[in-house]
Amino acid sequence: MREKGFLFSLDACLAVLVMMIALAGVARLEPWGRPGHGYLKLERSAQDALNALDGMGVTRYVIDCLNNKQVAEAGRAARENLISLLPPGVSFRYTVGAEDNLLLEVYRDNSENWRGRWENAGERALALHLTCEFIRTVENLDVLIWADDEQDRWFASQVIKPGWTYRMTGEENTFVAYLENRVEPDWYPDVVFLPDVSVYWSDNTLSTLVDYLTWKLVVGGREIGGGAVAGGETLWSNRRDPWRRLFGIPIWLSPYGQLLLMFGISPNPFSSDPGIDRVRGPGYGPYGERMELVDLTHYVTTGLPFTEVPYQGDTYYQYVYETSWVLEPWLRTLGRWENYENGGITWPGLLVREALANLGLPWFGITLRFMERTALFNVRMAQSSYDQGFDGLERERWVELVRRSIEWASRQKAELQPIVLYVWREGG
Amino acid sequence: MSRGQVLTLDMFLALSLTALLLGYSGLAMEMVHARAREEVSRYSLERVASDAAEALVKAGGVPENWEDRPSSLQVLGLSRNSGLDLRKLAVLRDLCRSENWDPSREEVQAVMRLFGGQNFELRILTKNLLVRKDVKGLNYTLQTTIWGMEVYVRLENLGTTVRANVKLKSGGMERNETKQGRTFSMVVSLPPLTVEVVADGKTVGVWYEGVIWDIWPGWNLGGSPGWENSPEVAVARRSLYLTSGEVRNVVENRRHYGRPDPYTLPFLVKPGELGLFDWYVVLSPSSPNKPVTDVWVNRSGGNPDYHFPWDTLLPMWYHGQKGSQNPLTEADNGGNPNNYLTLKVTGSKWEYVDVLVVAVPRCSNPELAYQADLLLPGALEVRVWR
Repeated sequence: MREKGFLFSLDACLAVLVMMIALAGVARLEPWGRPGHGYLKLERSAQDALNALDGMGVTRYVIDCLNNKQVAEAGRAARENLISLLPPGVSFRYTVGAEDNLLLEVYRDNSENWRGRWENAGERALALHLTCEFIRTVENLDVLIWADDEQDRWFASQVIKPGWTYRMTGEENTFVAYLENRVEPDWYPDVVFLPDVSVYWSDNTLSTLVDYLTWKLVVGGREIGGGAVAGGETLWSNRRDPWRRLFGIPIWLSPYGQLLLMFGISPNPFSSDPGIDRVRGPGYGPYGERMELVDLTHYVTTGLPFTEVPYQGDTYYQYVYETSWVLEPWLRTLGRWENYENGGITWPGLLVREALANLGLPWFGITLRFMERTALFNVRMAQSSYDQGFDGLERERWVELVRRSIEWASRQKAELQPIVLYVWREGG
Repeated sequence: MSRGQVLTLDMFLALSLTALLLGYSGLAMEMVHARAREEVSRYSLERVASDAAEALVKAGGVPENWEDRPSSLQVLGLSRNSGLDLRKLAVLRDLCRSENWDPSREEVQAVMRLFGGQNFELRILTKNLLVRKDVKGLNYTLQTTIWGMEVYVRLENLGTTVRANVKLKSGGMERNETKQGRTFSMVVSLPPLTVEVVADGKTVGVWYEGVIWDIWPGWNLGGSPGWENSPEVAVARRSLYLTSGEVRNVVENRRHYGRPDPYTLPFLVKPGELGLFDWYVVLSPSSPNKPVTDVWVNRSGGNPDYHFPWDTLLPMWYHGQKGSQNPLTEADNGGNPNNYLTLKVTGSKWEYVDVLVVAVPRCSNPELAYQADLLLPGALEVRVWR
């Protein structure tokens, strides 16, 4: 019994010891672990910093810099402001663009092993913004420009953006040679820009341009054909085929008629009327006519800070078109003139036409489009914009619209890009 | 007997162990409860700080325009267009002055509700880049004054390493630190300014962070808010952008052409704003000492109130006192300007001056007036304690 009693006491001692250890363990336990508290703080910091960047105009500035290919300046602005905004000890990685195609990548310092530091960080978070402005990702936009006078050349110089490559000519043979890819084998235009063609082109030039616009074929990175952006003078200067009109032969059968169709013009494919006219002067409206942007959902007009575009129509012509009902499903009127009405409908001021067919065989890297995109402004853009009496701000509006149109017609259009801010505390 | 003795010994041991166990478990329970209480208390304090900071930076308060009639304040908020509303801040600052801080007032109770009592401190900070230099060929010295503090920065490339020396001097106090290395971070602090040097191997950046406004009940009496001796303190910090002052009117490019024509610059001081803000004329000249500029406040003749380059910062109204011969007025003028400046610029026509009328919250550092037209990156910090 003694041994039993002794053993029992020993058992009890051991049991009590175990229980005490357990109790001590419980007492030492963190009663309320708060996982995620640090994460929330970091996430708020990141979100605050992105909001503040927006409010201070830094995001806008970064986007402008990227659009002008000033990547280093964009990085400097983002880094310096983020260091100012984020709490001490917080590292960051700020990116603009999709992860597989970054337009900008900035760290707190010049560290290159951010991913390792991000993965080893004790607390980490990220905040995401979608840019409210377009960022133009046009890296290889090739533009062929027809410029036959000083105004055209000046206007083109205003329109061309850093990162674009262009060839400018006012000579027909050279123009045709570029369209046929006979000048530089490695350079072929994505888009043709015709501000105000004042030259009466040969049928051959017209045909070549029509051919260029009719078929767009991409095979394994090689391209044939493309889109176009034109001012009204281009179509007006090349009016022809009086004999067709005289004999009532459908004008669309001629290269000129086909060019009109490419831009969505002509009331009827079986009509002899080219459906184009021009007007100017006080009789057509008050001094300083304005084009009103009526469709702000298209790429060319989305997010613009203006909806009215002034034009000195007293001095320079405006061009009057009748749009083709056949092409109606592919046409969109983005701008209308407010100074003239015809049967209750104001003139189209800016027309864009989508490609009629778009076939793709992605496995073989082949794309085929019929009647590639075009944009038509029914004004003398270059001449008007060159005018000294034209206000700089108004000129800038035309330039912006043309740039957008060129990007859209080339399909190298800008896109909304994500801005992501990764933040973490160093040292785990 | 023997049985009885053994039993007694066993019982004694068992009872002892049981007593020990019970005692220990009671102690353990007490510890658990104490820790839980501490944690809950700590968490609730953090929550108060965090929620207060959230409300201050994300909302304008209830009603939205409470700053126009502070007695209507129900919920405090300092935000406008996702930035800091300077007028709301000025009103809050005024409310926290010792002579205005009366817990029986409704608006004071609204402030206390947000911070969970009177134990709070609200700090507005701004952090800016002073200079950033490439390490290559680095040999740079900067000597300047920031908010009345002398700042000396020396950066040198010593071959494989960079050496940075920072000296801060203000009111007889001095901080002097040096650091050397390829990559390092050095922080030198002398309230209210902190200078940070960051060398990352390729560049060296020097940043300064300063407390622009520090508000707590009775802040104008000086001293400290009193959290230093508290066992529980919680801080929440939120980033935002802010302006250090409000530009009421501005005229740019004033020059001396044929003759120094006087120019009148009208501006509005709304009712109650003389008590809320200090008012300055800020000159931004094309050269350090040119063009000569005379400024009259609410008059157009006699000896000028200010003469540039003799005066560089022109306080029209400071700490609730007039700073010019004719005082500013906040008399209602139907929403139209009720004060004006007369400016006369003399010198070469190539020299010009921009003139700004600036309001900064009362008793702020006068140098803030110089930055009033800038959007500054900053932070709002809420500190609460028990």
